Amino acid sequence: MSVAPRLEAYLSGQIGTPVRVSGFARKSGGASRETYLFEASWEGVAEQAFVLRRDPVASLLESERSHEYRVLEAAVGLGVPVPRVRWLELGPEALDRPFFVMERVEGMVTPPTFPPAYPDEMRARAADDFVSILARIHRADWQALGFDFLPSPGAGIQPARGAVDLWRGIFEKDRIEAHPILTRAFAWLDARIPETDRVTLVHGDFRSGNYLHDAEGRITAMLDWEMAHLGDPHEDLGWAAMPYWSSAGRVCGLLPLDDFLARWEQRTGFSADRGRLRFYQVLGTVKMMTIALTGVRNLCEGRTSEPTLAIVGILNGRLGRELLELMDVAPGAGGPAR
Amino acid sequence: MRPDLGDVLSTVQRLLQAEISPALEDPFVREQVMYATLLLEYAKKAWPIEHRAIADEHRDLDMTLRALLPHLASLPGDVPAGLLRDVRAHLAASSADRPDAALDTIMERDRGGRQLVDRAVALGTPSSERVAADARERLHTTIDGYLVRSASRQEAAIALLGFAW
Repeated sequence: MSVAPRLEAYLSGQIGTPVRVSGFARKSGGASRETYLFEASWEGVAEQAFVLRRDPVASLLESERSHEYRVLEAAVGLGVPVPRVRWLELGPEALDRPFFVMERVEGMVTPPTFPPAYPDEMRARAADDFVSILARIHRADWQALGFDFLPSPGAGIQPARGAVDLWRGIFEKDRIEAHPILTRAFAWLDARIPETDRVTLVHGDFRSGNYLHDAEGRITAMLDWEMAHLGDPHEDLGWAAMPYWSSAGRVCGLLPLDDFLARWEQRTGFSADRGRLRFYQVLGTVKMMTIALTGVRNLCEGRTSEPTLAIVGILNGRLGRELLELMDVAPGAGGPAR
Repeated sequence: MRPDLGDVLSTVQRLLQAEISPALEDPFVREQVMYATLLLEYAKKAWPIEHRAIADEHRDLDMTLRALLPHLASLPGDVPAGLLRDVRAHLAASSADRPDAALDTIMERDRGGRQLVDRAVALGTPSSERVAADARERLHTTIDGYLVRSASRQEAAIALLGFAW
């Protein structure tokens, strides 16, 4: 049986009355999960729009779907626009794999960088919301808001150490061949683990492409919270300020780096540390390359047929060059003459 | 002789675009077909020059590993000695490869070469007490040159994809 009638049966059981599902359609993007859009109606409730997020066949851990659900539940208290989550199912009975359902928020999604062709006023509004939302996440009292289920690394060097070890573990597990640029990058990171003065909520994937916005540029929902954790706020700054997401000298295609940092400082009351920012730009680039290598592994070992994973794998060539530049490994570096 | 590989890929691409995609009702599947045709376009552009990219990588790896030999030989300890032995064996095997070896044979050899560069990177990390600072610097200078050239070759492949944001 296809997914839609089984979802209809599941929702009917959850709500306790017959539910009609319509317009069920898979949406592209998001290699780490399957995303479907649909409308549902039941007695007393006119048609309402929802999003279903289901683990892919080449599965992630069951706990990860639960993690994203719980983060989204708690994120309502941040005062930032997020979709309201409704149902979480971790067992295979309903739809074969873990999934959750959330209410759909209206809005347009951008590519991983805000399109240069969009009007400046629209970009300015999106940039303003982008920094404001990030500042709210970082200023949040995460314990009071119920994020204390996320492990706290504590201040000091642990957040950076933990982040490097986490991604090294994924890299070592998922690489299918030697990757000297990444091995070199991990050595670079190991030699520069920074101190962290404050532990905050970290979104983990804060960039263009992961929010919805209206026609005027106002952000209507911040999405993709599955990598949220507690750590150094510079991790989000470094990720957003990666050259990979930038265009026309603007962070995520939105605003210049100095402006981005100045507004973040103003709205958080924190200081941006350029050294730590560079560390987390390198770590972010390593993280993105590692995510791409996980996709390449799934592709090469026949667990998925998603062509976008091959494209992301090919794009790793650009990330490699950007990584070397961030580490100041100059194009004129030594080695044998050619 | 025609059809060559480019003709074959073009045929599959046309089939997808002209026949299969219009018959698909699911927008998600149609989008996947669009990405598949993009990859076929990439393969069409890559196949006539792939041998050059592989030859460049192969030559560069051999040069880099040869340049590492004196640095490895100057280092005390079992780990550099083991790596030195493996690099020499790799270079000997590489020079014995037939000139008309299949591309996948050369690519497999190069995977082994990159594994050795990877081990040399690890040897040169600050946590390795076996390597003095100046020797580490020499190792990194040699390795970094290879990394920059290798990244440049990989990035050139993106231009063939014709896709960016």
